[in-house]
Amino acid sequence: MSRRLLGLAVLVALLPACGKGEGTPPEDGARGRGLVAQVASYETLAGRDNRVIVGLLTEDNLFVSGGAVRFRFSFLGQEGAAPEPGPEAEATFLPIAEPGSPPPPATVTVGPASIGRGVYSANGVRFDRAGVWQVEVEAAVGEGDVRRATSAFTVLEEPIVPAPGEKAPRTKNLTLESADAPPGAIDSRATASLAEVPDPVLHRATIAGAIKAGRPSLVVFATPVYCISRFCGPVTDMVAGLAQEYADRAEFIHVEIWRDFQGKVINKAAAEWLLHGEDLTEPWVFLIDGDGTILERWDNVATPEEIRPHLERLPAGG
Amino acid sequence: MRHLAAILLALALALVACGGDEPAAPGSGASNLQLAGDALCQAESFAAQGDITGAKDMFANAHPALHDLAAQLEERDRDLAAQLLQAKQAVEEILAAPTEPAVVSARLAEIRGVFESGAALLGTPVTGCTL
Repeated sequence: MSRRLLGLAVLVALLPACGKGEGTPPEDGARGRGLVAQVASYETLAGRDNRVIVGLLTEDNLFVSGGAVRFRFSFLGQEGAAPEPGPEAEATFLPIAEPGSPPPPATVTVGPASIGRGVYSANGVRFDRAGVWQVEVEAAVGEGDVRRATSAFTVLEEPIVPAPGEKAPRTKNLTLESADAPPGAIDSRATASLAEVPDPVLHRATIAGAIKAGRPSLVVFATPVYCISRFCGPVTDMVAGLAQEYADRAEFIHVEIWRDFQGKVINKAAAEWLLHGEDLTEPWVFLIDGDGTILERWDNVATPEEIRPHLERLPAGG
Repeated sequence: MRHLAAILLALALALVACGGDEPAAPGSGASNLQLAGDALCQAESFAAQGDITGAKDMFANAHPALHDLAAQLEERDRDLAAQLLQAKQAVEEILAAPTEPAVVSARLAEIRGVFESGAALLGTPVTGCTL
């Protein structure tokens, strides 16, 4: 992306991302009823099918969850130019489910995080060019109460993070066999309250080893303890659950982000995949085939319902 | 019933917290931190009464603000950010497999202490448990 485009992206991102009903200030009695949209996708690409995820909150910090909303995209282009309409899509709710949490509401609902926390997701969204885009989210919250919010984001020409169709880096991530690594560098939960590295099934193989063995792998790059996104969820636990279900189809690998959080030292394996300049986004989940080609990836929020169909397509005993 | 009460309380707190002249921006501002602090107090109180479900709900309501605070603390005091996130992890583990209510309550008290230290460091102190 050019410096000019990057500058415009930053400018747009700094603009208020909230909408207030029909785009007017809230009247008395309606204060706090407007929506705030936050694009939760880390990377969207021109000319490809994209999964776009957006978090929705009210101005008074309640979460919007459940049901489906409408995404309308427009290309913002150059500064001052009128937005050009782009694709539209229905977006369904993806819950960030903690163990024991109730199912999300069936319809679009406003409430505290205990009612539902997650993002709205649209698949197969294609942007015809790179640049600064905007999504307008339209949500029907109860009868006759349609609320809207907008948020700007950048569409890239080429991926920064390894993408489907590319060869996966042959990374030798830390495992339980890595004698020189402190337990917390293998899984940050081992530094917090657990004496041992949890989920050993996720810490026994390397990406390089799985590819060498011709075995597909599902790899989660995440820091279970030190995640600072408000969309953080138990993604590593989720992958550990899939490892139990699909042990005969793939290798399941967790790559911890931090070797030393306080010292700001990133694990080499995480850096190989995700670090660009000083920027690193997490969590990411990648599905890699036995030849080492990336089949699919999920950024920020990933659910077992999205991943299972891809694992089902892998040969059993692979 | 307590589950419902916890939710209604969270809603009421959210509305009260945004009664100023300007609507609060999500993820920022003293009112958000106070709201989360109140939710932690409620979680602790529920746990002390043996109501782990109520404690879980209130902790879930504080959850986003814990991440927001940690993100803000990262550059100011990374050790404190780490303490906060480690305390959060410890609470989540104990809520997933609850033991004695007093132990759950103690863990929640620990995170509330770290949370209040962090909020104070950022110049947005929250009042202690008054509910």
